[in-house]
This record gives sequence, structure tokens and C-alpha cells, in this order.
Amino acid sequence: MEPAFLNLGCKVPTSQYAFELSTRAVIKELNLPIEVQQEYNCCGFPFISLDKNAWVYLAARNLAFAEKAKRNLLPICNGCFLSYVEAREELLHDSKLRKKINNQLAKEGLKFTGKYKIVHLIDIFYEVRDEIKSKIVKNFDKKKIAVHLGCHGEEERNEEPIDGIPRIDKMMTIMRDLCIETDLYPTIHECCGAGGIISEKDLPFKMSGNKLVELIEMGYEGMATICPFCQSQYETKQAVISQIISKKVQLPVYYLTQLMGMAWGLDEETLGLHLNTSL
Amino acid sequence: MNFDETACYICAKCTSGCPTAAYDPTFKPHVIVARSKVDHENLLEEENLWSCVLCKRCERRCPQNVSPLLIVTELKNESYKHCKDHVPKGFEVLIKLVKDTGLASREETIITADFDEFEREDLGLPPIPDINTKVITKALTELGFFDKICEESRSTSTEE
Ligand code: SF4
Ligand code: SF4
Repeated sequence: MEPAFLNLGCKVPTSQYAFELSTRAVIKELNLPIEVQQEYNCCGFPFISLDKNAWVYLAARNLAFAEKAKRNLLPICNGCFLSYVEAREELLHDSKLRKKINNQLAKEGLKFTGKYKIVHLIDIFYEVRDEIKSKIVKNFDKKKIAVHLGCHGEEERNEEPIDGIPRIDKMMTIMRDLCIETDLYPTIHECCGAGGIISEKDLPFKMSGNKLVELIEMGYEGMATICPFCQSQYETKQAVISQIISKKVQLPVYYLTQLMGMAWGLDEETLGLHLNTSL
Repeated sequence: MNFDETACYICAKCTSGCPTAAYDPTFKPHVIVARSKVDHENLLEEENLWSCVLCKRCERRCPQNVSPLLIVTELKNESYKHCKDHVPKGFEVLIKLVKDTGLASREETIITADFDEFEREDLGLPPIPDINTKVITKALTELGFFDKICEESRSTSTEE
């Protein structure tokens, strides 16, 4: 793979520590050319609903730092991933906007040109699939775990998937490589609801809760995510969900990176498993 | 992202896939798309614009290359600019956070199922890098993020 900056975003380094721990561990084990981006800021996505310029500027600043270091940008979070992909599109297709944003970036000696790529963890893991398999010491012996890629990790409508394989299929293949039993299910594309949290309504928790209930009823023993917002909605907030939908909801939810590390025999603390409240 | 805002033929495919519409029958993306052309002012008063969870389903399903999400987002941008009461108060916290820290969330002490408490340091994680918030706030100011067009009586401008 080409060298990349791992962008930790906001949610992971401030509360979803298990994702940071397990991702750092997995990257180290796989010996990938990935460094944690040191100079960065919020990806801008939380402000997309308020002001286009603010959103694009915040995203562009991080893209420009990666560009300056001649690296692709690897956001750990799906929300950040989409923010960068969309901001990049806006900047490439709107020369007035690009000029306005680059005028600001120039004050720090930065510039956005779009020369480098925005890459996704799932595509990278799929690329090194054989390596992941070769490290397995203790597979999952057909444990039934549902896949949840997350809306913002899915390809766009007219987007050609990398290697012709959609990310959701890649994620399932990686899980099957770990001897996890996973298949398509009716609500596989259903949203975790995190994007609606700011409205302070019950709706986002009903969305995540109903999906968990359905998976439990289908006999699933767990769920795998790859986004801190999805994980928060399905894992961290299970107690809140139980209250809102007046039904005790309990399903173990793991980050894919934790599952990989478990199969490799890495210890609980290295993977942040002691921080998951649903296990 | 070259969407065509005028191509909607009101098939409601967006609404039939919209998770928010499934829970809140007053929220219908295809109706918002249709009304955005003829009833813009009233739409700006709609509180339930904020129920959209930004899942992109509507945009991915639309056979006509319309993005209901983009239309909803533009309406939200405009209601923020005009200090509409229905803009969630939580955004004021996010704006303050990004000015103070450069990030949109604050570092938390997390509590496990066994009531153990952990901070980054306890987990062996390095501190979050220093972020140049001065430069960021100045740029956001110059880009007009804090210039709002509020009615005199209830100005909620976050300008310092
Ligand atoms: S926006 Fe697209 S999906 Fe929705 S009603 Fe119009 S044409 Fe149909
Ligand atoms: S992006 Fe918003 S409007 Fe579109 S389907 Fe999702 S919740 Fe509905």
C-alpha cells in the first residue's frame, strides 16, 4: 500500500479509545506504512448542516497537511471518510470555492490540489487479506456475527468499488477469513442513527435499537462495526436504547479491528476489549 | 457530486427508503424536494429538518440523480444563517469546542461495565496533539461562519 496518515478524527481519541487501541495494534502487527497524523483538526462533518465553507475548510486543512507530507489520508472514522471524499469533490469541481479555501490555507503554507487519495481501512485490510489470515492462531469457530459497515463507508451511487468489490462484501470476506459466520440480513444497510443525535430526539436510538433486537431474534451472537459512531450507537449506548425502547437489549458489539486482534491472540487490553460495555 | 435538483418526478423512492420517514411520518424527503421549489420560506421554519440522520439512502436510491439530502442540508444551512429557533442548541457547544480545541468533542473519562475509569494516559495512549485553534478560528471567521443574519431581538450570533 501507499504511505498514509491515519487521521484519528474527534470521536475516537476523545472517547472511543478501544478503536484507537485496536487499530494501532493491528497496523503495527501488519507492519503497514501508516503514521498517525499529528497536525490536524475536526474533519468538518459536524458543521456540514450549518455552513458549507466551514465544513470544507476544516476538511481541506487536513487533506492539505497530508498532501504536504506526500501521503494519502486514512480517516479512522466513516463520518470523517465521507466528509473528506465529499469536500474533495466540492473543491475539485468548484474553482471559486477552491480559491477561497486555498487563500486561507496559504496563510499556513498549505495548499489543496487533490493529488493524494482518501483511503478506507476496509480496502486496506482487504489488500493484505493473506497476511491477516496467516496471523490467525485461534479462529472464531463459526461464531455468528453480523456485519455493519455503516452508511458513510459505503460506495456512492455511481462509484466504482476498488477492485470491483463493494466494501461491505470485503468486510464480510475478512470476517469469514477469521472463521466468523456472517451473511446478508434484511437490515444490513440500516443506519445507526448517529447523524441525528444532535436533534436530541429518541429517533436515532430507536433506529439502532430495532436493528439490535432484530439481530438478537435472528440468533446472532454479536455485531462487528468499523466506525466510532456506529459503535457508540450499537455498543456504548445499549443501556440508553433499552430505556427508550422499553426492552432489555444485550448483544456483544466489536470493532472489526478487535476481532482481527482476537484471532491473532493479542491480549484484551491491547485491543481495548475491557472497554467494551456489551461483552 | 453533480446532482440535478430539478429532475425529480416525485416517485417517492427516496421517502420509501428513508429511515427517518419510517419513524416520523411528517418527514418525507420527496415532499421536501417538491416544496423546495415552491414553498421555500415555509420549509425554512420546519423543525423536523433536523431529524434527517444523514444516511444518504435517499440520494443513493433516487433514479433521477436528485439529492434530497443535499436539499435538506441547504435548508439547514439557511436556517442556521437566519438564526431559526429550531436549530439544535447542541451546535453552540460544537462551535465553542472547535474554537477552543480544534475538535468537535471533548476528551472523556470513560467508565467500563465494572465501573473502572479510564483516560487516554491510563491506556498508554499518547496525548492528543496540540491544535492551532487561533489559525482555525480566524479562517472560520474570515469565511463568514459566524456572520449570521439574525433578527435584532434574538441574536444568537456566536461571534466573539
Ligand atoms: S428525489 Fe428522486 S427518489 Fe425522491 S421523489 Fe424525486 S425522483 Fe423520486
Ligand atoms: S439522508 Fe436524511 S432524508 Fe435522506 S434517507 Fe437518510 S435520513 Fe432520509
